[in-house]
Amino acid sequence: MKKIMIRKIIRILILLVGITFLSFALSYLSPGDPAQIQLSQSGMRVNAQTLAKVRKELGLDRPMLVQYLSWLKGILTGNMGISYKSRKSVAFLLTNAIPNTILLTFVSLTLMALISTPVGIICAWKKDGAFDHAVRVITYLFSSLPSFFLALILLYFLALKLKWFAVLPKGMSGIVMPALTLSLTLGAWYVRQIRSMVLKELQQDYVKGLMAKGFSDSTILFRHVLKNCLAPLITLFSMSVGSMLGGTAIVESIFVWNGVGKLAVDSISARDYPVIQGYVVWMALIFLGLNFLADIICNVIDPRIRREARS
Amino acid sequence: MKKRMIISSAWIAFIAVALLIGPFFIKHDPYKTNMREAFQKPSAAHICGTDNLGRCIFCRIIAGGRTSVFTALAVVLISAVIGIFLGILAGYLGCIVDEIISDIITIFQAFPSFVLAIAIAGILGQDIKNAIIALCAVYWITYAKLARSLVQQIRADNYVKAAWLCGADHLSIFRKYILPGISGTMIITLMLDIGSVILSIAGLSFLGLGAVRPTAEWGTVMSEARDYLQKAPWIIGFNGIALFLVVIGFNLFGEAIEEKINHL
Repeated sequence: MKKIMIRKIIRILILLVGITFLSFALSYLSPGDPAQIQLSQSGMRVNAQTLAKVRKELGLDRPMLVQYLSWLKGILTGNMGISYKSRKSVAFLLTNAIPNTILLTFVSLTLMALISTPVGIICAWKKDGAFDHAVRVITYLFSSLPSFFLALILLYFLALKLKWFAVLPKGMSGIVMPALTLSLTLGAWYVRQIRSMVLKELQQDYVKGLMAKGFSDSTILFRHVLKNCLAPLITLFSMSVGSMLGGTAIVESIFVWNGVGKLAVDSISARDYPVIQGYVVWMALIFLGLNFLADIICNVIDPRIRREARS
Repeated sequence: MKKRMIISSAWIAFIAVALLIGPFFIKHDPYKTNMREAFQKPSAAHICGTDNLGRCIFCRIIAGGRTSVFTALAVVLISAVIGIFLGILAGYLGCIVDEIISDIITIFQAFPSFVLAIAIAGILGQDIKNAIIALCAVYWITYAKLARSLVQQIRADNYVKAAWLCGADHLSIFRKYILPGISGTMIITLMLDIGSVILSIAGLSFLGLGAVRPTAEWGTVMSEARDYLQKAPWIIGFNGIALFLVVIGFNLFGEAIEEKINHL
């Protein structure tokens, strides 16, 4: 047991080093010289002397490994450098954007879960019925619909034609259209996942046993089948939370929702590397943390997974 | 279901023909601007209307489809080759090679996929080639993981052990057992990925991280047309519908292939 734990911890450490190193190495992919970009961003004249000075300021004259270690220290202490564009600290920009993204994620996922869970369950329970067929066609169409096209359709009809919302709404009403876009595209996928999960459970022998014993349909469905679907659903859900927190860059920029996704896109067009690096590394860490958390929750609620982990 | 196979392959064949020989038949140059004909509604002369520079939308959809679909095919093929190669290497050789490749896979997997794609495409700069690199960095993972676990399974099977005992060499085991054993799953994954890759490419281009203007590409064109959503909704409408229909076609085709291979 102890040996397994140590191995696991070593693997997580390797993973963390890998993630941070990859995020750091991203800037080495850039065709431009960061010092030159910073100089031209701030409107200064670029000559060999100022370039050398800025390179020294940014620590670019040191070997790559030393740069990585000092960058890592910065990440861990919350000092991720200064944005080239706005001259504000990356930590400040990220902490400003994250609450907006969390809010959008929370609203869209709640909306999505409220719609897709019952729909998926009904489809599986009444398999091959009229409702199931209709839902299957609709979810199929939605899963091939690009999110930006759906976003623009909503914008055209809800904002421009029906005038229910302003194109650039202020305050809370601005969340409706992005949340609707996200929950519809993701919801279609979830309905199909939930349907197939419930169907798989319904074919298990224990369901036949319960039926033979004369339990009512609702007891079988709610007390047994759904309970068994909970663990895989939590895993899926945590991954969705993770990737949505990483920013739904497209939807956020269409609806001008100031979250991390929009911050990332804006920073990319300004070639603002420190912000992009900070964004990538934190999103990966959050994603990893959420997956880890989901593992623990599944372990707690599902004895089957516990048993598997032990053997 | 045979019906799905027939309908989807006919649809894919139609798309392929339209994209391959379509450009030779369209009436207007997709890049030629003509300010006098700007913002024309769909009519007999331009069945999908014209855009802000008077370019024919229908011609741009055909030209854009070439960029979108061919780039997507390139992404899927490159990722499949890289992923399958590394996956087989890891699954077949095991030990340290497997550990290193598995670690690389886990590290890449730790990033939300679209975050990694926009970061790579963004840092490399706006260019369709960079978008291809960025998406390959995301899509190779599935192939590597699948190939690795399949090869591990096949290697542990008794018939492969028997072949070993009969003195078969690596090459013939690879050719006779491993390759046929993984090819079905790989083809299915590849076909099912095409639709989602087309969407991702359009998404990256929409964010300004793919094709450079004025190249006709569905995502780029739709992002340009955003400013004219009220004045000329047909630009986004027709491009979006084209994208949607093509993606549906590839998804249906992928599922038909999956059924066919799994029920052989």
